[in-house]
Amino acid sequence: MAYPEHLLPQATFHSIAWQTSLCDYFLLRSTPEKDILDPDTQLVRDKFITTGSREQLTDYSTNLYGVYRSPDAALEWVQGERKLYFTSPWHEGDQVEMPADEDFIQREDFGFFFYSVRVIHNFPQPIQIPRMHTHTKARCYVCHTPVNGNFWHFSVRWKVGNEDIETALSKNERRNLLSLVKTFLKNHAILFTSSIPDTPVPTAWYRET
Amino acid sequence: MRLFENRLEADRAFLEGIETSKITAYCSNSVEVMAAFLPTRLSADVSPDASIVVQAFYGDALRVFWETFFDAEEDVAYSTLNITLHKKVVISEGGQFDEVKKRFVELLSPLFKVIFPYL
Repeated sequence: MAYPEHLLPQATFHSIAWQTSLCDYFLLRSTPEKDILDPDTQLVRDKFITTGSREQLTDYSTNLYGVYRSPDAALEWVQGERKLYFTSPWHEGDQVEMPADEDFIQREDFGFFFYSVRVIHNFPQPIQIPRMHTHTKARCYVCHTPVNGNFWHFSVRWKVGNEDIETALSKNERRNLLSLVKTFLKNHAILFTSSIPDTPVPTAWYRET
Repeated sequence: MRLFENRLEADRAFLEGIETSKITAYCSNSVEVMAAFLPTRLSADVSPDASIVVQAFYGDALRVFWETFFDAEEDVAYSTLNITLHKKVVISEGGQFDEVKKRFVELLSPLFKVIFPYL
């Protein structure tokens, strides 16, 4: 199978700037298995919210649903230098290489869930970090972070004050804050595609005119 | 606890180097305390970050997420407690396991009065 061209950035593309119209869209998070639900809570299991270290939560990887569709969640990069290239940030004007057959696999077992941009962007989450009295809120924000192998890559990040949360926090402060972030992401995950509108992404958002 | 033990066995690598008896003891301790408040849903799971998460829902609105971290360098496990009301985190705290256990009991009663005023 050839790599889907609709995922690749083109030299005529530009990054998608934040705009309130993005609130009508959804972000898709892919998982390595289809069976991701905890039957007792009906929430996504922890091991599918993050598939590795909780540090993933500081820059949470998702895809803007629209041009990127559910079957694209089956694609996985093969480990190695080429993966590093395809998962590195794409810069406007860059012409990217076409992934070869051996650069990726198409998983048979895969899953996904969604977030509503409207619900999570700017979500005012109260926090308490005793050392940082001045900051009483963490703010979730959504931003376009295209990579060489996927123009539709978006990140969900958090700010405390004006700074992203990877600024110097102690081990336990990070545990506290990232547990909160994980709780937030579990509570707001949407599992059923029937509730996701099939809205196309306007080309004017990303294509040079 | 049986489901938790199955999950722990399936993803034992998440908590490599930590004795099973230690993990299950902390888990059952959290489960017992949360179960005492008669949750409508209760679940325990492992996470890839060397932690376990016990979740209890009390009615539709009140959800409690109690995560306990295991670190070979720490004698006493560290826990975080996140309580959400209508999907918004209203309490987010951390501390040593026993401190968090105490806080859970202290915090839940007043929250019950808000959620279930007829009790």
